[in-house]
Amino acid sequence: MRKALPTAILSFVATIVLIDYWFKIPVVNNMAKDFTTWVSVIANVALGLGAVNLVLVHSRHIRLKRMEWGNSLVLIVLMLYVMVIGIAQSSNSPTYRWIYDNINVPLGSTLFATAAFQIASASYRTFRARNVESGLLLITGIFVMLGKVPLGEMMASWMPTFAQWIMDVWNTAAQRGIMICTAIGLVIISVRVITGMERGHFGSGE
Amino acid sequence: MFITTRVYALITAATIVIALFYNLNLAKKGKKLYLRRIAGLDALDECVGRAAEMGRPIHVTPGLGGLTGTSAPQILAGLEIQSYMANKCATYDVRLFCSVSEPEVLPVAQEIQKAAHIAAGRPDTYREEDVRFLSQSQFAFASAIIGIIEREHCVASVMIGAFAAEALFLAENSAQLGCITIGGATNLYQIPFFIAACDYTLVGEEVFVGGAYVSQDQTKIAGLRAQDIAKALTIALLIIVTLYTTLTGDKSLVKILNL
Repeated sequence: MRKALPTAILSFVATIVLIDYWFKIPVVNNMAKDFTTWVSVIANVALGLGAVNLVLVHSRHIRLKRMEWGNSLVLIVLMLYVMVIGIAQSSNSPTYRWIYDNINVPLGSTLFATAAFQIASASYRTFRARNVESGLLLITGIFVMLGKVPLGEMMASWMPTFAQWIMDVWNTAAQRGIMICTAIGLVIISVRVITGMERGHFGSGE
Repeated sequence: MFITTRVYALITAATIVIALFYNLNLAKKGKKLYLRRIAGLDALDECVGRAAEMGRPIHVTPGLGGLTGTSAPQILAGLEIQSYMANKCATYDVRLFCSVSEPEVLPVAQEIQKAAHIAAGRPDTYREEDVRFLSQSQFAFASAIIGIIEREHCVASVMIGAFAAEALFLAENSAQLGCITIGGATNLYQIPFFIAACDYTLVGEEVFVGGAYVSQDQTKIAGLRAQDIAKALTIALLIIVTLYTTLTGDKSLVKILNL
């Protein structure tokens, strides 16, 4: 029952949405539209669950004085502060926007900026010629990198064209292969979930 | 009543569904279906083994996304992996941390973990705090995961599901912290980052085979065989259309198939 009922609901809703995609039947189209609205409602209710989980986990950290409990305190205080500002003044208020633009955005940008260093260290590990595959990757990587910088063109005039050929032919072919297979995989897993064949996400046991 | 512009999508879906049920029938009749080895999925047991030996936890995440929209199948595939890991970890008394980025995934992930502990006969070892909603913001989510991995001294980091720009950050920092890293994504832009930074990588469709692979359930494997048949048909169609168009110069097939 613990798995059967959610599977039945899932199958019913998915069937309605699928019929809505292929057929113009007013009753079904309206039902599908309602289901889409319910998704937003459920997601918003779940947001409350998420906030409760955050408060529970971090208040426990503070209470037990676990490692870096100060961070948990900052998180809870800031979360409540932003929540109060958002409810009292709306999310378009200057104070709310200021917090978002001056704290959230720069922090995200800073972390994104570290990607360059992460790429360098990951590439160093990957591009070591340990076997035939990584050797080929190393050689191809060198050609593509040289083809993308002026130094490569200075070394050999054909380098940019060759690098572009690798990107356009080999890289695109591999990407499209992965893309087609992924799309087929998506359909299969969706059918398996809708028909209840794949139920691992409900947990083990009945 | 029928939207005619979507006829090929219907034919494709119908073909895949027919192939799926045909193979399911074969599996039910007892035909043993072959499944090739996938190193990334075999390594899941290695992670649990090492964690049990060292007495350290494992971290798993289905990535950035919810149970609706385009990322849903990847998230569900990630939850299948979490389910397998949770069962193994509960059996061998290994702590498993799971982080989610959407609140609606949280109760599902918590339920998976709880059910695994009950199934293993250890309901007392289930800790609700081990499954956490972190943030919907991708870099806040990624940095919080790295914080958990560092503080809790996780021995492995399993990242199979839906990932965007945070993939490299997660994978590389996990590797720097000494974790066994297993990544899996369908996002074409993130796969190279996982390949570069992770010890094991599931590429594209391999992400969706996790549930069937780890359970070795023949009915689930039947679904994978259907996937392979669909792939073979797609390849055959591509070759036929390419040859026909090249040899005759007639582009009618290309137009019909909207290629």
